[in-house]
Amino acid sequence: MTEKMNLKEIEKKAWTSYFQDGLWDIYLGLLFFNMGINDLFEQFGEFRPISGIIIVFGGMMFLILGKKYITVPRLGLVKFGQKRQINAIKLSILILIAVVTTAILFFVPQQFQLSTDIPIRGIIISLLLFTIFTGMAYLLDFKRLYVYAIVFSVAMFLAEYIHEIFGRPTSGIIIFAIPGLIVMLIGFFHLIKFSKTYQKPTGAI
Amino acid sequence: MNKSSSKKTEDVQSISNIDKIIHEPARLNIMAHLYVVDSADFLFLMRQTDLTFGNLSSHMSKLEDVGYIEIIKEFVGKKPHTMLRLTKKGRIAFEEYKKNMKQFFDGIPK
Repeated sequence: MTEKMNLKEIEKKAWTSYFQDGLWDIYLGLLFFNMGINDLFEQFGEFRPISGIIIVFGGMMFLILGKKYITVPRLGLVKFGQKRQINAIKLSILILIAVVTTAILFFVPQQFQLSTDIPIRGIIISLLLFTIFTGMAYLLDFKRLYVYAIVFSVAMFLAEYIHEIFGRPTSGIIIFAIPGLIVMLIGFFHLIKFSKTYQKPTGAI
Repeated sequence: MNKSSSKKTEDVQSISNIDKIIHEPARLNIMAHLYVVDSADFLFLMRQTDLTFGNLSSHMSKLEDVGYIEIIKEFVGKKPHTMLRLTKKGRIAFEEYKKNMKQFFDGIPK
């Protein structure tokens, strides 16, 4: 009996069940979608960043409230052990480093452009994005993130070239908004499937 | 002869020492799930173990009676919530159970 009982697999299954709801997919897809449509808000002038901030924080609220009102009432509540808590801290550090590095790269563009043929900034940002997403996928045991890592980092790398061909805002829509929308749709598909699989229990448990 | 008969005695003893409370499949499933987390609520355990409410409740009571789990009733917002956690005694008992079972299976010739 113990040979078939793999405690590591039991813990992993318990952990990954929390990603069946698709909420993370929706949030990440929304972030990318927002990047793609950001150029459409150029008409708002100095208020343009606010629209992006609203979408990003709105998405975050959807994620948090979704976990609270959709996932937990259907799946139940669990507090994981030390290993997962340590991974959460590592993940927070990873995201913090990524945000700071990306901010620096975006605000210091010229120094990374050695020649017009080699988009160094694009390469660095896409590698950074790939590293962040694969790091998240590993720490969260969230396999779909590996696919999103490839999609988003390739999109970031191609951004410079697509901008030159189609110009803004069309390039943003092609490179970021469409993949972002696809990821969001994947998220909604998982959310609907999750809601049907795990009906909300009636009565107190 | 002496070596094999003493080995047989050891095997019999190790299987005789198996904790019968934990050994029941549903309770083993519950203990295993609680062992790998810090705590979990009733619904989570129902989902993970595929046990019905009544079944889970019954096994929980048995485990609580022997002091292997503690049941914490609390309110989350206005809703009553039941969290479950292995006690220290429960963790030790589960580890002992694992050790005994491993010893027994390892002793079986291939």
